[in-house]
Amino acid sequence: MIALERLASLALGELAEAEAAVVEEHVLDCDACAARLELLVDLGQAVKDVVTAGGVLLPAPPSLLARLEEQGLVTRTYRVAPGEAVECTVAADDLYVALHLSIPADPAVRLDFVYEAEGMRFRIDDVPFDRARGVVTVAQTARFLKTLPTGSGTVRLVAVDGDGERTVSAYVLNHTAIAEGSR
Amino acid sequence: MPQSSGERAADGDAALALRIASGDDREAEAALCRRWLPRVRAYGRVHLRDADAASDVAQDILVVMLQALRAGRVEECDRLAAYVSGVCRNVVRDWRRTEQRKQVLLERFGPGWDASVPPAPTVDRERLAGCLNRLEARDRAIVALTYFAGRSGDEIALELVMAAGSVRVARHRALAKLHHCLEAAT
Repeated sequence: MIALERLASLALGELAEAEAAVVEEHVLDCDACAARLELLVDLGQAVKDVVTAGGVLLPAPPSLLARLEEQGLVTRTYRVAPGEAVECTVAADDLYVALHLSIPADPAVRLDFVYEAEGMRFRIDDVPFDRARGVVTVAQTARFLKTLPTGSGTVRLVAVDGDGERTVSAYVLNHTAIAEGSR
Repeated sequence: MPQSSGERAADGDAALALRIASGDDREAEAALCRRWLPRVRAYGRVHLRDADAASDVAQDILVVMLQALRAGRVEECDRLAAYVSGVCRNVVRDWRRTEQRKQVLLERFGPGWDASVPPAPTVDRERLAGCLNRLEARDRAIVALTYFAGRSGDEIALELVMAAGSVRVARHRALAKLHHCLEAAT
């Protein structure tokens, strides 16, 4: 069986012509490889379908956010500075809500996103961030936000390095739940 | 007596055809193709009753027409319609012959395929959503940048401030995890 990465590269059109020819010839002689290649080609469309349907929480670096916005998938946006609070909500027809957290200059190599509210805590390790503009952007699914009750939660950005971890900034999200019956 | 729209079209066609016959003139070729594509496509639709086939055949007809003009094989550029109508008949006839041969082969061998060939594998979208949400954040971003935003490995590396090799490793890791996650469901 040929390596998954080479099949994925073939499916993405990333292989040089000569290498693509070698992989294609192998695939033509390997049922399992052909099935896997077809699945990988479909995976590309499937990822598009799932993202477009609002099904994935996405750490959103600039070009990903731009694509989401181009396609009209980001229906609500909040920008918060360190130490500040924001009033936020979600509506029935929202798909993604973009949360932009500005961060102190040169925070760390790795930042973790930690959300804490009453009865809930989740952590996104090593969240990609826009170092040039000093912002972490997360596109949260409205599907998830619609399950949240009204209440306050805190987001902390935690720098992780060889010395351990430390909170570099915190933000308060005052969430108003979507009205019952309009979910 | 005013000219009919057909005569005006012929005059414009002839001028472009003469330019093409006189030498390499891509602008004239493009203009002539723009004028002729709807006409030959209509011919194809009438004869083939299939919009996709008509579009394919129309392109073939235009290629033959341009080759003939470039080679100086069209003697009367002011009667281009007469020449192209002959091309249309030939191209459509050839297309039908090819289709008939394919149909004969399909009828001969096709029925045996239907029952024995498994359908093309597809990814269960709902399951995939769950698998994507279980990926590490960075890996998830790389998968979304790759497939949703259409970014190459090098572009992702630049954006996420990673080495290109690290992006490839992370993508491989993510795809392997997705693959296992999806297979576990089946």
